[in-house]
Amino acid sequence: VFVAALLIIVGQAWVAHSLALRPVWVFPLISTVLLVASIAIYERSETPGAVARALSRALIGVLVIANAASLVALVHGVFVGSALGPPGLLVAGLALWIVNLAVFALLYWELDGGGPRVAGRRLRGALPRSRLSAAAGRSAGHRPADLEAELLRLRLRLAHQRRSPSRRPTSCRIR
Amino acid sequence: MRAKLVMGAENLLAFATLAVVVARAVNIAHG
Repeated sequence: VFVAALLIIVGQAWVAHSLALRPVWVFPLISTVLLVASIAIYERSETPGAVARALSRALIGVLVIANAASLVALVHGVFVGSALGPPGLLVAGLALWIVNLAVFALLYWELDGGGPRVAGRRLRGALPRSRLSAAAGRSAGHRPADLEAELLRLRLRLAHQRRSPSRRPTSCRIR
Repeated sequence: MRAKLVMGAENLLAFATLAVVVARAVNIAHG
């Protein structure tokens, strides 16, 4: 992820340089500082805390703003005029589009935050203890949910076999 | 909700960029 972020920063710096976005170094510098801080915090602890999360979100925010600024520069270059030639502007636009995809891929990665398993664990942690114990008490007298699902699956298969003509005995089909 | 907002922002930027790129390409093609 850090390598991807670094590649995105390099791509953005190249786009900003080719579109003559002044000053060129502002967004790459802020992004690099945030990235280095994120790596430093990540190296110190195993699980990402609130500070690490805030840093990575700030980094992605800066990347999105830099992309929007590059887009404004590109529109200005195309419709008002730019030092770049027409093919140069075309290539810069395509590079900006690819960088944009990568930035938002990084943002979705961040929003996903470890996938559904971690999200479920977080949700379970957020439930108050009294509600958890009440739910455990309620389910104690019942069958476990996976057994119920298995039972339903077996019933459905049986119903399907009864309905399907190919499964019937030959005598049945002749009649 | 948050993911939908992000998707909206992404689409806005991506379509705007593509529109500019296509405009430039058409402009080059016309000479």
